[in-house]
Amino acid sequence: MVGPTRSPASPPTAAVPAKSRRPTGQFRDVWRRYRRNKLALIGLGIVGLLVFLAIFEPFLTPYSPFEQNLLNTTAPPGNGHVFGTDVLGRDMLSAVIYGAKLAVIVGVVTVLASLLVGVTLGAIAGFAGGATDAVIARVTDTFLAFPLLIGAILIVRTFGAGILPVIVALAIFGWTTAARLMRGQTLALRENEYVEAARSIGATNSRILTRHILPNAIAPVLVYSFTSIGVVVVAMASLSYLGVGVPADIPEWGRMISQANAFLRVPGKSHLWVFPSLAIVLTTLGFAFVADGLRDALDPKLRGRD
Amino acid sequence: MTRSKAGLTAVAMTAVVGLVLTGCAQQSNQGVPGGDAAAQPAVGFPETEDFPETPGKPGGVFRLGISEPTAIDPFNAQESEGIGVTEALFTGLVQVEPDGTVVPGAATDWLANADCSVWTFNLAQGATFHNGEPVDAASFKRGWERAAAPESGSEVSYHLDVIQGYTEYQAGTATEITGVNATNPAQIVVTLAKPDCEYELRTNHPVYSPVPTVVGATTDTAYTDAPIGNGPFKLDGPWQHDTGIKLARFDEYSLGEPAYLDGAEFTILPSANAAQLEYDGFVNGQFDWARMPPTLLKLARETYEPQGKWLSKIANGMNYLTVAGTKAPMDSADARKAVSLAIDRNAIVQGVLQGSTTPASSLVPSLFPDAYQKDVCGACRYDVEEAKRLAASAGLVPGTELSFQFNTGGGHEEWTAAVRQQLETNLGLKVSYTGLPFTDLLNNEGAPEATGIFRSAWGADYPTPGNFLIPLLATSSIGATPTEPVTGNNYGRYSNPEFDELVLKASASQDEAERNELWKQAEKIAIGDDQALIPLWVRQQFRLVATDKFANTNMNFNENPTLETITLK
Repeated sequence: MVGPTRSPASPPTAAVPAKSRRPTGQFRDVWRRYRRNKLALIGLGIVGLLVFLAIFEPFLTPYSPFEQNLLNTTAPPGNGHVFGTDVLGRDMLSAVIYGAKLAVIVGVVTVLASLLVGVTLGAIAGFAGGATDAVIARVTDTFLAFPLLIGAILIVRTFGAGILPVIVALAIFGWTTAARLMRGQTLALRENEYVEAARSIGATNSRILTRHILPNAIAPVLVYSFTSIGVVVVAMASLSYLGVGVPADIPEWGRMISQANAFLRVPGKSHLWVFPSLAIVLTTLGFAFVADGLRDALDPKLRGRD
Repeated sequence: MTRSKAGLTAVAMTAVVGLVLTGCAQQSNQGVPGGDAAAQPAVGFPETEDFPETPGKPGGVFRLGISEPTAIDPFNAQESEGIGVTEALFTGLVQVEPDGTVVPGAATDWLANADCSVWTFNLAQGATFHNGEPVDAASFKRGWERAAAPESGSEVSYHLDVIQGYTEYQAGTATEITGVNATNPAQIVVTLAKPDCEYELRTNHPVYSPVPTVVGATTDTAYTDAPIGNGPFKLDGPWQHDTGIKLARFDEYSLGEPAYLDGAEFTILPSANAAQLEYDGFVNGQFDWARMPPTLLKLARETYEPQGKWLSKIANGMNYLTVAGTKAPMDSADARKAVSLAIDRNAIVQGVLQGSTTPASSLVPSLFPDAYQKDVCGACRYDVEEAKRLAASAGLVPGTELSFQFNTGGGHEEWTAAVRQQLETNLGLKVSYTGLPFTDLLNNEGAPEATGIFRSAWGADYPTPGNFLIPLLATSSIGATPTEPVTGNNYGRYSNPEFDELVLKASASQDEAERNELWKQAEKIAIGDDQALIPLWVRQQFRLVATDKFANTNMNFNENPTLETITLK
């Protein structure tokens, strides 16, 4: 068994010039292949727009997304409200933009947290093998067996509504696939000759993991994570739709659709659910397209083909 | 090729961004487009007059949708739907008209002794059950004991708990309810453990129904799905769960005019969207009576009011905020009034609740015309200046933290958010706003350390103002010391000896006019002076009625159609 016999003492800090030189070439190569995919470019556009909206939200919203106007509720688009107003008279456009910010923040933070946990555990499991692997794999299975939404509802119900509990809940049930992918990759890579070579010149386990295995194993995990941002956005919207996500008065897409529920059959009120639904659809598609493009672009088997 | 696509994408993105950026500075989201705030229409939908009494023809089957009831056997009939079926099948000692008047049922007359502790009901002669068995005093006692029995599984037998001997019987330590004397078949004599001069109103609850000797056990679903009653209608086949219930006229009914309808048909709808399905059914002619979702009220009214099919009634219930009045920051009447004055009820009712209700200015609703005091809650109006003045004098300074809790899943998310924003804008309070499951809300409300305000609603079990005032505001309804959780319904822990004395006097008064006067005085103290709780808006009910086919259809106290009076047109 290849147990981590030595403590991971020396973090890799020396190789800065090599690091900065190599990825440039690789990036150019990846981008060349990425941009061949039209959907991936559209996806990138959507994701770029979302990030832009998220960063500049306070400057982009025509009204405060929280300011109610009970004298002008559920007004259809027009009269200075491009997307109309919601059940509390809040500007829908501002609310949708604010929702984009929430979606991006929650999506990115959740996925980063899941990645951190998943990659670490997956790499350790794959690299160490044996009992460590068995324990981590069983824990992963346990979490994987839990339906995401039900688990998340349990956690949010326990810790109360709020953005942080939602992130924690989604991350707790979101790291497992990353861990599995990472474990599989590590298992496959650790037997490679260059790993053996590194070991033979005395590289520590942690150096081998971080410098040799991680860069080669991370691509599919990153791609998966990118897709899962869309999943996280939908999961957050689902939680809010069910009334357990973010607090009731925060403009969040799922919450907005849930408010619009009662108006589904009322003529002239479709703006209440059309815009937030579109936002969710576009976001999910955007991240999925980008992930799709990334997968193709990063696939070594497609490398060199033109 | 690929490069140009990328270029296109970039251009499109820039365009979108540019469009969005044009609205750079945030504008003020106030005012009414194309008009001024003062021009807003009147709030809510006004009540309609009762449909006039007209001579009608017998016949016809009245059809309506309901959700699956808990029970149609009186021992456990509880929600409006179950009671609606049960009250057609059974006639109790007294009956309550839609306007609240008490009229004879199985009892022709009733009398209380001087301190209202012993009640004598004289029974009508010749009345029978649907199986032909005579209705006598023993059948009432049998019904009450069946519901009160320890193994009955009844969730409503507490309505009998004022009767002497109920507790012992319910605990299984007695073989009968000693307070019920049925030795004379034509007379039932009830001794109360706690005197109550309005006791006859209680007997209108279905749990007080008589049952025949062939009655089945409460666990016998073959019987409880097809109970034998003494009412104007009998079952036409057993209750088909989740499908429907059919009633047929009981021709030998003698406790009033027999019904005109040949029958009634209740279609059982999934409760999640029952109102929508009822409305759809009415529109396509499947139902003769229907509720509708609040969002469709405006449309439904515009369509059906001109056709005379629109019914709008203030019903038995009140929406209000419970106030933890013994704890800061709400421990002064001025603080409570300030909060009440800072809430714009009209705007919420009109803008958020689609006009589905009417702002309240009292706790006792107008359903009780003789005790109703419009504007007894002087602070139930919108006056920001006065609110600020009172808040300042009560130490409710800007920045004060106020907890506001509500239950999720009941459609309260939006209007509570509006109340929150009004309190923050108008008084500068820092409102901590929490939605949680209903049982958690009740636990938090009743906890000794509870502070702030809580979303609440109340409907009376019996048609009396006392059933609002006593359970919600009497000291005895706290049922706990200051360090224990509340066990009654007085969650705000309001306690005022003067109020307690007035409601006690009212309960002990045999004179209806005097009683109503005492209820009024009590409400004046608790709501007008002390603002023990903050009334928001009343319970209002809307129905669509097929008045083209049926006449004499009105809504009764339990919000069901008056099946016994409906005639064919």
